[in-house]
Order: sequence, then C-alpha cells, then structure tokens
Amino acid sequence: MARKIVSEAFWLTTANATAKTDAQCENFAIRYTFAPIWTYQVPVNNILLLKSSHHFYLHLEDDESTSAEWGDPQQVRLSVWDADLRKMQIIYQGRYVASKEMQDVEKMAVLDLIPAGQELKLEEGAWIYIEGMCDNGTTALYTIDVSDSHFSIETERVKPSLF
Amino acid sequence: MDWNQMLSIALAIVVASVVNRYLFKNNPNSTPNITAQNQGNTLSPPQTVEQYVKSAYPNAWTV
Repeated sequence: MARKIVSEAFWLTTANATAKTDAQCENFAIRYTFAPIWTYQVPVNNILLLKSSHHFYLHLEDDESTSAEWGDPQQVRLSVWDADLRKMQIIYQGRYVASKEMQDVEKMAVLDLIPAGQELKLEEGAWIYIEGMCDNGTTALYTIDVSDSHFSIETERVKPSLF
Repeated sequence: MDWNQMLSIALAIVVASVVNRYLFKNNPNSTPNITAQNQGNTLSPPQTVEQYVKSAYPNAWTV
C-alpha cells in the first residue's frame, strides 16, 4: 500500500545540519561578506515550507582564549538556495542580538523577509544556509567556535509517512 | 405469546433492518467515514509530496 503524505512541524537544528569548521568560516569571511556556518540540504522526497511566522534562534560563540558569545552588532543571515546553488533568496538578515533569543517565543526572531501569508517551498536538494558576518568592518576579524554554537529553525516538513 | 405478538416482533425486526440499511448504510453523511479526510493533516494515497504541496499550498513559491 502506498504510504500517506504527512505535513508536520519540524525544527531544523544543529544536529540535522552540516557544520563548517572554524577555519572555513573565518577564511570565507575574509573574502566575502557572509560566511556559511551550517548548511542543510533538503532530503530526497521531502519538501520544506518556510513562512514569515516561523521562529528561529542562533547562538554563536567566538574562538578567543576567553570564549564569549558574539557581540550584539554582528550581522547574521539565513538564506535559501536552489539545488544547483545558482539562485538564492535571503530570508532573514539582522543583528545577532535580534536573533539570539531562544526561550521566550514572543521575543524569538521570525523569518521576516518572507512575504507575510506566503510559503517558501524548498524542494529536495535545495539548501538552507545559516551565515554569520565574521568581519565586523571596523576592528579585527571576529572568530567563531562552531562546535560551541548552535541554532534552530522552525519549518513545516512534508514527507511520506513511515507506515 | 400468541402468533400476533410473534408476527409483530418479526415485522419490527424487518422494518428495523430495512431502515438501518437504507437510512444509514447507504447514506454517506451518516456512516462513520474512516478515510484520510478524518485523520487530520494526512491525505490518502497515492498522492506524492509534490501533489500534496501543490494542492495544500497552491501559491507557494520557490527560489
């Protein structure tokens, strides 16, 4: 018997995504504005739907001798890419301070660059990039300790049921 | 119990079974409809993931 299709809430987290190394992020940020920290590719036979009401948070730590959380003004960005990495759309960009709330859902950041009332559809093979701007433009480059950092993004996942 | 009583009971059983058959079983609105429509957000096979999203979110856009 063919399996049913289920549509369910799915929190994409650090555990699901592929992490870059600290050096990859920092080298990338020297040459480009934003450095990917984690990437996630939508699996075969899955579709992810993102809405402007979906919440997310990021927690980023630097790699200095006295490890600390990233500074409030640092910029972070979430973007989605097609499977060929040719087309991209930014779904959130803002200061780190605005996206680090993880406890109070009233204060958590939302994917506010997606037009309200619309759904962004990510078909199999499409990517979500979680990016940080390691270069703050004025002083020394920011560093990142990827293994001490984490994130979570609310999505809606459509996939065949297990049974 | 005389014959009249037994005939009344038999007639009642026949009437009840006819009513049950035509009033309830043949009426899709009054029978328990155990299909995918009653199971929340699942849809019946053989839909694909793409077909589901197309019908549930006709205006969804992609990159």
